[in-house]
Amino acid sequence: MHMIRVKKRLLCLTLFVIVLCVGSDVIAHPHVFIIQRLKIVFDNQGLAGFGVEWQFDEMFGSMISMDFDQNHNSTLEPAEVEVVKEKAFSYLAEYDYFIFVRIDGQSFKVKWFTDFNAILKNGKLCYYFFVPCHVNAHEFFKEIVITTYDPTYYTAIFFAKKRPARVKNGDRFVIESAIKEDKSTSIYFGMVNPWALFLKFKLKS
Amino acid sequence: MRIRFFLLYFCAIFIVVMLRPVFAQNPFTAEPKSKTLQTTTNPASKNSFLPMISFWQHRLKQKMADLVHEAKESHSVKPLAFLMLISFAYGMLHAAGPGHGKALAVSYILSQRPKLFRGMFFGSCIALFHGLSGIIFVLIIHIMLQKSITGTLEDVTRITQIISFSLIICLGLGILIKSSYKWIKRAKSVHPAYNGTHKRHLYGPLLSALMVGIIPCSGVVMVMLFALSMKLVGLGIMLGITISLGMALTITCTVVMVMSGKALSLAVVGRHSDLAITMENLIETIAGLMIAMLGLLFLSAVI
Repeated sequence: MHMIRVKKRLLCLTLFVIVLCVGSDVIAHPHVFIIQRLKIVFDNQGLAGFGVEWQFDEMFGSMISMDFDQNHNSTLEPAEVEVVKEKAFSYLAEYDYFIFVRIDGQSFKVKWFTDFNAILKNGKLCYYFFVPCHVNAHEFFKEIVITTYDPTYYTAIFFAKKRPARVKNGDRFVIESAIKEDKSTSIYFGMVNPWALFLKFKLKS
Repeated sequence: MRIRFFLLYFCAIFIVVMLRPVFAQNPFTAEPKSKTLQTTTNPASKNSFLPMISFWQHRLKQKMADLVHEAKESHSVKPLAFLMLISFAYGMLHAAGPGHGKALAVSYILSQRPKLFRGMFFGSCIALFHGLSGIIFVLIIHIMLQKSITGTLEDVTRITQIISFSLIICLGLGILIKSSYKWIKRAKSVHPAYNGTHKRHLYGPLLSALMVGIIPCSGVVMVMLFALSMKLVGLGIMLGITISLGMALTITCTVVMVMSGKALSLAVVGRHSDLAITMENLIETIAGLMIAMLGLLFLSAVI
């Protein structure tokens, strides 16, 4: 009797492995790794947008530098940055630049960005860009959730351990923030919760 | 028990059919061909395994990069041993994640009844071809053709995918036809005898492994490119091979688990019963169907 039970369990385990292998074969998995930092920028009215800094793993960085550092001087000049922007960044528009914003629960689609820059330093590649997102401040809290992920899971995005987010021009506002998993979003066939910056702000009374 | 067993098998098939293909295409450098994104507004299942794999892959990749720098700067072989160990571990973890031909290897093994060693050989060959293909393509594109890696590699990968998936469809259909023939033959015979010790051949394991493994492994490609950027071609090849060996271990383990599961399941339904023969033929038919379907699904995603 005990033997049959063990066999049954083993059988179920094997079937689970099969399902995992078969199911997982059709989906992508992280090949590129990003360490991310966000800079939340305020103006007189409230939130103006946020700057995004992506530091890539060295291997992806070397791939980009091989193709786009035309003069092989280990830095990216403005003309080269333009090519990087066109050929190794602009395609992300199809994926909302991996940035998914909710303002008081309502989705805000990231359609454009400004101030793109790509810096290659000591073989490490960094992208910088600014996402305009105007939200006026009031006496009550406005809640913003900035979730960053690659919907195809080719890229894994982690928040930096040190200074993952900072605020600019936030003196006029009461600001609360936290970085945690966004439990209301899941990717990778419901297996991974991406990380998000949860931000609340209101006018100082 | 029998009903439960069949239900479990059909659930597995159902899940496979329900999944839609999304391929490992670099979103930074290639225009998306498919907009099938796997995002939902539900919380993720309690599964820390996949985020953990991602995290450790990231750590190991970083460590590999550091050790390559160290090896280059110190001109010493001292960091090499550790570097090989790290790249082997990276290969193991990399293959533990989705993809890398595990599904097809498993389906193919299910459709046959090879000896354990041949099954393991088949699994290892898939990983080695997968890694070697990455190494060879990078060398050809970068050194011989001296072309841009990002665009060219995307094109090469796409071509190899089309070839590989077309061959896989043929393989699946071949197995399906063969198993259908067995059903017909069995229906005609009065008392089929089940001989559990009989080993079927694993037809052309090298060729089948090549069909699956021909698609270059993105993980190996990136490591190779990194080594090339540091003008360490030999080290890049060594790392690529070590990563492939690590992947081989994971894929072989998966194959062995599935082979054991199949043997156990046949033992559970009764070694001497008529059901065992039916079961085995059924597994073969389903596996053949799965291979053909997976090939078709994958092909439709890349064309």
